[in-house]
Amino acid sequence: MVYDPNEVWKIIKDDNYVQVEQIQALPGDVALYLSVEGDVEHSGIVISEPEPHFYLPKIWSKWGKYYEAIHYVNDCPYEKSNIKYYRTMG
Amino acid sequence: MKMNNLLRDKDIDNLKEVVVFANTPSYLYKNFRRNPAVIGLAEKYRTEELIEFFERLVQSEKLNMETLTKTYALLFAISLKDYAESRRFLNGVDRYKNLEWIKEIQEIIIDNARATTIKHIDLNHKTSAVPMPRKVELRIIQDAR
Repeated sequence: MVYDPNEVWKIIKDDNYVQVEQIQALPGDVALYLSVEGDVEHSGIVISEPEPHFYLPKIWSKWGKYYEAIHYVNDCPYEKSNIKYYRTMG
Repeated sequence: MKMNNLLRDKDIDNLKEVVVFANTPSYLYKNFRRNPAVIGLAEKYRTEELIEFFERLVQSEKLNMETLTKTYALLFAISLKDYAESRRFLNGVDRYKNLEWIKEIQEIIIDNARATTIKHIDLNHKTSAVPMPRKVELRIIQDAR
């Protein structure tokens, strides 16, 4: 399990992930939930494109010791003010 | 020293959620330290009392979710106290291997405590016709390990 924020950024860089906007999110993209301080607090996989009207994708993620959950990107117990999306370019 | 009713049931439930949902040690650190019940513990008890409570709990029976939550609450309440009083305890807290992420939490607490600075600003200077710079003294708390 990766929980060191530095390791997360290392993976993003080493695996050639590029940042995309929320409205461009596609299934398979990674969503990173950043704290106010900029630390990665949570992460998940995008499983649906943003839906019309609110442009919110659905995310599949593991909530700590709790279950894996499928939820709208803004419907979880983590800081939601700074969510970034990344797509691997192989 | 009695440690019953350290936290109200409602507070424990709120803090349990933090423990359950935590994906990282820094999430625990931030969410416990800003919780009013944890801040209340730090305000109500002296550092040595909090350390005593913590050690009694962490050395007790197998930690269930409630005692684990209380133990984290005490640890983070200690982290809110003066680092000079808690430094010795914090330097050795990683020996409690039954606490998940204890090594990482210890590092976060100590790193943040070390970064604390105290500024002494002398405002008692006398004014004169010639502008004089105010004496500003910056003292950095240094880790004496």
